[in-house]
Amino acid sequence: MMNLIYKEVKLSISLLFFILPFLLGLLMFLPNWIFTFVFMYFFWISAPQIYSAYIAQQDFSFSMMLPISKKEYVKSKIYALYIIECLHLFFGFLFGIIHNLIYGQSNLFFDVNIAFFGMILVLFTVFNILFLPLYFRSGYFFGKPVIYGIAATMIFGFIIEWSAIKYQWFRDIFEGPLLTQVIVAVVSIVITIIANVIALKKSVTNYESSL
Amino acid sequence: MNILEVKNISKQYDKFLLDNISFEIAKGYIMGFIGENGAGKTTTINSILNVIIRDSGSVTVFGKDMDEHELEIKANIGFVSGDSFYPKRHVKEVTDVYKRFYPAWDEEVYQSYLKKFNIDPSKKLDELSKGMKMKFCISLALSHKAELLILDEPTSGLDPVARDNLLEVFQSLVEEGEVSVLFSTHITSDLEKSADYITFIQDGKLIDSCSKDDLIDKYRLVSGTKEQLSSIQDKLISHKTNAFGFMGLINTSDIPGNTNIKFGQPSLDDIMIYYANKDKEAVQ
Repeated sequence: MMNLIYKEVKLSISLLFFILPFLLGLLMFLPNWIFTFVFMYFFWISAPQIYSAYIAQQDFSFSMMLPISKKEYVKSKIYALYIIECLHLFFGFLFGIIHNLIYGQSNLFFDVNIAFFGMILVLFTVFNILFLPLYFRSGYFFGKPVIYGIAATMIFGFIIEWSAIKYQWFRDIFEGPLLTQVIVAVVSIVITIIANVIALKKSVTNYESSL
Repeated sequence: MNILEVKNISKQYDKFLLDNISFEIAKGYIMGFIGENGAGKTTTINSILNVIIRDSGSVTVFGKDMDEHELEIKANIGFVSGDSFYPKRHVKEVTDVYKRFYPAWDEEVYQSYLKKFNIDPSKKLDELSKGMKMKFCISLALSHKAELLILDEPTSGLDPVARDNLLEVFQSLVEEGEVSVLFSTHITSDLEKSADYITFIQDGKLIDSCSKDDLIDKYRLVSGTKEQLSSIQDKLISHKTNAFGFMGLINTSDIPGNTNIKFGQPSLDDIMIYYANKDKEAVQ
């Protein structure tokens, strides 16, 4: 598996998509913004580019030469995606802390706090659970899966950002005491783990029965 | 000893059926796998490599069942297709990744092939000609000591000189008897030069699988006048008519005695072309 992930990082995915999390993470330094956008660029730019590059570079033709199973092939591509998503989270979190040190935590939209990053985990999970199993029905066509993933994440993003402006009860939970925020984050982590395990298994099953 | 045994593999698609394909390759020989475009060559190869799921049939490589020992078998196979990959990556970058998958990788052998084929490892893949790319892929396959090379249309798109050059490479590989080659192509003249055996498929069905000489001996080209055509037409696999008469292909066993119709030895091209015209009306 490590060899396959090495292949993804070294050959299949451009270095740009490992740098973008840092560059896009700098958007966290904007004052008073909809910070969910910082992570949405991954769905709008990186995801479609990465999967179209697989086609352009004939990644499948190369993979066919290797002594690997379909299961390993799918897993390696998903793990590579997780690495990039984790980089987005890492830089978002890091620059989010600095943002709060500069401007304070208060924001017109969803505050940059622990609960916010819990929600961002769920945001990535919404994308993964829709996009990955649909994409691995063919392992080739990525258009519709990306559109569905983007649509779902935009709806989710809109709901949380709108709720932060509109509803006091939302602010009380998600921007309330630290303990409440931590609980939100822990619940988000649990949802993320369970949903991504399901997404991964479903993707493997879809791909194994697709050819 | 058979290196590869393919038994009754079938795969049904909406508009195509790969129907009961069987053949085998003995150790140290080149098997030409021929058929027109769309005949099912790549589907067969994908079935052999478990890239697509077979509906039925079995594949045995090195005496082991492909379904049970897929990864172990694939580690001893070199698959080379006409597709090019990672055009903007350097040769050495691709090699660096590829070799990690093969415990039997021999760097010395790899370097010797790079030298032999004159491949510069610092070049990008799209800076190599198509022939050089094929040689690079063959270098990769041979450096992990592949005993079976599966080549899917390796010579398509190459000029005659590059093709001849590549065919010499294939022949030199099997000379020592350790490597066997399954060579899929629709350029049958390549096989006239290099293949020992031929498997011929048409529209998803196996027409024949035997030695190249036996295959050619099984058929004869027929030519004659339009008047002579009526006496032999029902025995022809297919035929073409022109202003001077007709030309067709016949099974050698169907040649009638006491006739002054002319018979000649067909090429693999002739056999493939006349089979492609089978069941169609005679081409004017």
